[in-house]
Amino acid sequence: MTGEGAPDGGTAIARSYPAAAHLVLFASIIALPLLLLLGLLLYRSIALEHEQLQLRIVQVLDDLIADIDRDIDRHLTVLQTLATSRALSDRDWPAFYEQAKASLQGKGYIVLLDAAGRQVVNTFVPYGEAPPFTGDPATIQAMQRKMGPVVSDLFTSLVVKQPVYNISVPVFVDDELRYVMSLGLRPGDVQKLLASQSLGPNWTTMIADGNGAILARSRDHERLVGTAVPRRLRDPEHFRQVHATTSIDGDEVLHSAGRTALGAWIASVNFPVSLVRRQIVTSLWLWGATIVVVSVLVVALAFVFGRRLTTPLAAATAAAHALGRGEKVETRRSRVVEVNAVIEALANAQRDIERNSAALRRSEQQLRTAAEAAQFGAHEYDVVNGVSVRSPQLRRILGVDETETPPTFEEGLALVHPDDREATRRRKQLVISGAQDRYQLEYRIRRPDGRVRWVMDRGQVMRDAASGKVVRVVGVLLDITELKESEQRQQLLFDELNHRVKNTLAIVQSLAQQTLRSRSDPKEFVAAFEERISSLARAHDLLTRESWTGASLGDVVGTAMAPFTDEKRKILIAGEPVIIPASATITLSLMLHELAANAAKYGALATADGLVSIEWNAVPKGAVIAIDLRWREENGPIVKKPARVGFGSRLLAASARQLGAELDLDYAPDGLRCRLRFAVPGS
Amino acid sequence: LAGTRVFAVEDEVLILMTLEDMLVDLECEVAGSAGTLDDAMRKAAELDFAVAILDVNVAGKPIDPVANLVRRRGIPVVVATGYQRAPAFPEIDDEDGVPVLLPKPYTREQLREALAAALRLGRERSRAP
Repeated sequence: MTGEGAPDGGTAIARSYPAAAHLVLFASIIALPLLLLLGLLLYRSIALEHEQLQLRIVQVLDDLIADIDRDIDRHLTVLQTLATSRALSDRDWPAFYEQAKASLQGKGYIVLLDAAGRQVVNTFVPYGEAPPFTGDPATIQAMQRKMGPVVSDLFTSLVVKQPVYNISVPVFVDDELRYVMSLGLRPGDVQKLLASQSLGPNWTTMIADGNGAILARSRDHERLVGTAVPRRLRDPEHFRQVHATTSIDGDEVLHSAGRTALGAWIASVNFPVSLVRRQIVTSLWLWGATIVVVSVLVVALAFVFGRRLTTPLAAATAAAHALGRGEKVETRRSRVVEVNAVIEALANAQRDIERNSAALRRSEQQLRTAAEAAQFGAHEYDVVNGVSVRSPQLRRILGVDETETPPTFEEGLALVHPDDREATRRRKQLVISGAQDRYQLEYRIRRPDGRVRWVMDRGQVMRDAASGKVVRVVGVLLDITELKESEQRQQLLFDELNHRVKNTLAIVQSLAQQTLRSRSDPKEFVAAFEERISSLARAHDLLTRESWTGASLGDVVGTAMAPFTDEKRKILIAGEPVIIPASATITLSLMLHELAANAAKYGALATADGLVSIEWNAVPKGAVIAIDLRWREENGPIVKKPARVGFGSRLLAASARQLGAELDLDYAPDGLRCRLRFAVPGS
Repeated sequence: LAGTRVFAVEDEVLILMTLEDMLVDLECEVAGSAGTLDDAMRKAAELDFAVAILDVNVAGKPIDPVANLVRRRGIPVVVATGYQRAPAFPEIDDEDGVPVLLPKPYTREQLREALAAALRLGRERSRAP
């Protein structure tokens, strides 16, 4: 229901219309035959009514004629009864006059004529005053022709002086017409008869005599009595037929006429056409109104029901749009089951999509979090367009603007340190050309802020499935500067370790050589060498314990003297706490060892009563601490100054020089004395 | 090498003593020795000698200033080192490449070869314009 044809691919889809239009069409297809049927029925009804009206008109005419005939018959009965009266046959006219007058009961009058037309009796006037001749000679002529009852046309009576008509019977004497007995009646009586038909105001009835003069009329009788009826209203060819014509009043009427049984009277009935027309018009109006009402109803219902369809459909459409835009699908229930099914299906689809995309988002997020945690910067090089896309993390590593335009290959290389640039270019071109599928590079970058960082760049190519050509190179880049620095630090550490080991070996080598100079006997050499090595090792232990930062002088002296300490020997160690730097510790240890070894062999530690005292003062002097250390031997053997300079003396002298110390060595006979004055940096 | 005046810098007393012994054995003359950087700097500037044997670092401090000073005097240098790589002496490197290296610990023969190499190099350099 988009109101548009399919924009593409649609071949046979014609124009589309709203649901209401379809419903209008649907209702119209049902309503149109019904309306036509209604029209047909109305037409049939009108036709039937017309037919019945015509029958009724003829019926009214027949009834009217019958009534008039019955009336005339009644009059004839009276006349025939009188005709058989004795007075008549006895020609006792006065008696007959009375008899006739009595039989009339005040209605009309009796005129008795002889065959010559002379009046014998006339009850209209007192007996004997009757005019000599009849005013209705036509009756006598007709009587002579018919020899039976005659009803006259309208004529003006000589006595009444008004238009009247006669109903006459012949009176035979010995089968010979002797008299004509007439009953004179006024047209008003016929008019009363017309009025007594009680047909309703629309009907018009009329009686005309044989001459076409109006005898009576149900309407406008007084005005029209005696006037002539137009020929068209008394055409014998149309008798007892109904046809439309114009009445005397000038109205369009349905008209029917017929002849009465006695006499040549013509009865006619009119029914106004306008009434018939009005009925047709009313029916047409009814039909038209029905059509209009039905049409309105069809359209209105189509829109109402259309809305019942289109509103849910619009909801379904909105739901589909919402699904498309990724918004919440409203699952409001409508009254249309199918639409509900569609919306429910859409809602289910959305749930599925959400579940799937949530899982996708989750895994994407996990990947991203992992990448962020690993601090990998991702890049993707589009070989066809020659530009790269960089992840935010990569831009942070490279120190470039967040809103940079995708860089070209050369722009990317410009960030590489000049020393590594050419090698990096060669390797990357190998990859882009497809010669290598994977790469792992370590190179330095120079960031726009001037900082140089080490990075590791690894990646691989992505090929077009069909052609196998390299379309993209994807990779990750990791800042390994700290790793590199750590590597370098470790290398430095190894170098330092190596140096120290070598240095120590050189010391050991020197110890061996120096020991060998004074101890040529292997046993002596081994003993002295071992002692010196042990002394050196202990000094190293001491330094290692203090992390090579230096050691307290007390510890240095204690450690150096430890091998010579036993229950018998008296060694006094006393001094102020002071820290000796690492570089001086070994030297000082070696010096103390040589002094102690000498004492153990030739001096105070060689006798039971001997005493060695080692004392020192530490006095701060500006930035340094002046140390005055004194070695003194007592109660040992008599001391003699050695004849030649031995290793011990050389070591002491060289060490003192090394320490920048003042050395006083006194071979006093009662005990060796050694004073060492040097300075160490203040704390 | 006989009579060659040598200036030795070494912070380890025992090594220095042995070095002096070796030099005496090689009939060299010990022009002077130093165990600290300050002492070495002073003596490197003042003493008269034909070649210097310098420990690569003295009491934890790089020997560079002493080496550069000696080199500026046009005197060849032997660097005794426990390190595997040559130390960086920018001034020397720029002109003449690495100095003669004497890996520790060394024998008397190695010392002799190093001194001989240094003296030869020194002669070549002084001949160069």
